[in-house]
Parts: sequence; C-alpha cells; structure tokens
Amino acid sequence: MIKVKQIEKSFGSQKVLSGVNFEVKDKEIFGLLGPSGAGKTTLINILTNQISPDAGSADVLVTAFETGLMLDEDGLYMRLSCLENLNLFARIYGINLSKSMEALKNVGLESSAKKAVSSLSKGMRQRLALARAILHAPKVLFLDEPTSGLDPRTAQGIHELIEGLRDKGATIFLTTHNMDEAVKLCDKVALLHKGQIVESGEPLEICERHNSMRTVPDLGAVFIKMTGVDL
Amino acid sequence: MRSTVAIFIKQLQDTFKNMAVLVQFFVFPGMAFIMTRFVGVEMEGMSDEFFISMFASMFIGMTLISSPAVAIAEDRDNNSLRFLMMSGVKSHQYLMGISGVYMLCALLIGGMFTAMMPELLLSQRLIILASLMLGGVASTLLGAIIGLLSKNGQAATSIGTAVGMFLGFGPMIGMFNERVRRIFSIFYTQNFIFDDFDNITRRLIVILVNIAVLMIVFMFAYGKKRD
Repeated sequence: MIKVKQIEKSFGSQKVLSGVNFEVKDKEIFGLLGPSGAGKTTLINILTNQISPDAGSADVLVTAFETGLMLDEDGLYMRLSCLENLNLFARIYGINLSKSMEALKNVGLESSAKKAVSSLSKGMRQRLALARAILHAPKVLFLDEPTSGLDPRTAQGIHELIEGLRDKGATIFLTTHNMDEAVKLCDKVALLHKGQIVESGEPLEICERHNSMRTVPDLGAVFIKMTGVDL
Repeated sequence: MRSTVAIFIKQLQDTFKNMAVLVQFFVFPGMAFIMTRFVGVEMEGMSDEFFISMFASMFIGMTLISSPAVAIAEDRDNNSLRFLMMSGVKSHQYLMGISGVYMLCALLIGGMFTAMMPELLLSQRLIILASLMLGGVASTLLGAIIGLLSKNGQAATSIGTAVGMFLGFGPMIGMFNERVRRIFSIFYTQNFIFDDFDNITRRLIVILVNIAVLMIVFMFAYGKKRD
C-alpha cells in the first residue's frame, strides 16, 4: 500500500532524511518511531505530497481522496462548530452530511456537535481532527502523533478507534514517540534516528532480537541500545 | 463545483460568526443613513448622493479588501488551507468560494445603499449595483493578493487596512481637491456610478481594467507562492 525507497531530504545544509526504505502492507498499522527532530513529520509530508524528496521515491497506492490525514496542526476552523467543520469536508468529498454526525459519534463528540471549536479542550480538538480524517472512510490514514498531550483515558479511546479502523480494512501509518503505544497498537514499526531507520519489524520480534522483553516488551530500551538516545 | 460551494458555505458561516467583520458590513451603510438623513439635509447644496456614494466607496474599498485578506491569511496561518488543498480543493475553487461570499455582501450592502435613494429608477439601481459588484470583484482580488503575500494574519490586517484606506478615502478627498480627483480617476473606487449616468461606459471600463490588472497580479502572486 505504501512503498518508500531510498528517500533523501535536506533543508539547506541540514540532512533530515537519509536512505529511508520501508513498505507498509494493506490493512496494517505501521508505526514510525523516533524522538522530536528525527524526521517523522518530514516523512509524512513527503508521503502526503506536501513536499518532494530530494532523491528516492514514495508511492502511496491510493488517490488523495482515499487518504485521511491527522497532522501535527489540526487546521480546524475555530469559530465554526464541530459539525460545521466536518460538514465542510463532507461537502468537498461529496458524501452525505449524516456521515459527519456518525464520525463525531465515533470519536465521542456527538454531544459537542454544536460547540465552537474554540471552546474545546486540546484532547477534544484532537478527536475532532481524527473524526475529520476518518469522515470519508479512507483506505489509508496518516496520523502524526495522534495521542500526544492527551490524558491516558482519551488516548485509550483513540487507540481503540484506530484498531477498529484497521479491522474495517484501513491501512494506518502513524508517527509517535510513545513506545508503549507502538507496542500495543502497531503491527510493524520502524525506529527513526537522525533521519535514518535504525531498526524495523514487528515490535515483539524487535524486542526479542535485542533481549528487551524483561517483564514487558520494551521498545524504548531497544532505541537507547541502538542510538544511545532516550526518547 | 461542489468544492466551491463547500468553501462558500463555510465562509458564509464563518463571516456571520466573526463580529469584527460583521460590524464593518453595517457601519458604512449605517453611517451613510445617519449622515444623509440627519446631517446632509441641513447642509445647503449637499446632494443626497454625497454621503451615500462616499460610504459605499469606503465599504467596497476598505471592508471588501481587508475581509478576504484576513480570511485567506487566517486559513494559511492555522493550516486550514493545507487540509483543503490536500482534500483536492484547487486554488481557483477556493478563491471562487471565498469571493462568492464577498460578492453577495457587495450585492446586499449595495442594495442597502440604493434603498437610501428612493428617487432612482430601477435601471439606475441596477447600474449602481453592477458597478458595486464589479468593484467588489476588484477588492476581493486585491484582498486575496494581500492575503497570499502577507507573512501572517496580522500583517494582512495591517496592509489590507492601509490599502483600503488609500482606496476608500481617496475618492472622498477627491471631492474637495481636483488634483486628487484626477489621480484617483484611474482607480475603481472613484468610478462607482451613483449619479453620473452619462459616463457609464467610461467608468465601467476603468473598473474592468482595474480587475484585469489585479487578475494578472493575482496569478503572479499565486505562482510565486506556489514556487
């Protein structure tokens, strides 16, 4: 579904991505893990055609219409209500407006449908941004740090939603620096450090390979072992 | 087409919830009404159209420049524009959706201005509305150019206000100064048709030339921004 080959990207003299390769299969949750500044957002921007790589190729085998996005900045209209924000995109996608309420129900925001976005908490805005991303039932979902800054209960709700979307057939590409989240959610992960993938595979398999199973699988320990850097 | 309609509806909803913009839509017709009814009648030799044409020029030249400039800069600042573009909305669809709202405003508020001149014939009302609508097109284009080229929403507000004051106040000053009047005769804000029905063609041509020039600048600005 997503094929990335030998991606290189620099901003000025700073090399942000170097020789990045990976493949994401259909109906898979793929996690790109790494600390802030590792190049995760740049890679998402390349995959969503917002910027071009200097070298290499990034192929997402669906149209822009079949893609859902939840990025680092939510881009919501503050003065409009939750429902109006979703209705805007429902009209753009040419889908029934009833889907907006359905998406709000899916993220637990149906009671806030008529509230202005400016009155919502950060967690609620993040859920609304996720509702917008899943509104048109996309085949591929890009989620940039979907649970960052959220309380554990809200994050848990979003995890359940992401798993539910995968079960319904969506392919999900997410970035995170939360290793527990990655172990719990992802079918496959890639560890990104200073623009290079230092390890990739199934989370448990990676932990076993690096003797980091202890009481629970510890991808964080693997990352420290590989890079010398804590997340 | 559906993207243009979607943007149009969004912009209409957003405009009605934005008090700062909404106030501007009513302050100019309100001022024109007050000045015409309570001040103009007491001033000898003052025509009924004086305050109406002055405030209508100000409305088209100021509000309809700064409002789209701020709307576009705001969309750019908070990344909403990014999501629209990634959902397949093309730049011309976005511009048409935003402009449509301000065209509608020009029509409605223009209607308020003409309602203050009960002696006008229907044909004259339509000519006034047409000139105001075309002026609205020019102002929205200018506002879009400012919105595209400004660094952020704050800069767009400042530049939009400055340009709007220049174009909105110029024709008023021109009423008292021949040299200023001659200079501003090349700008669309001095060529709205309120009473000079003998020079309709010349005035409309000036407005259309303004629109053509602004269209070229807009395409240049959009191309530059895309690069």
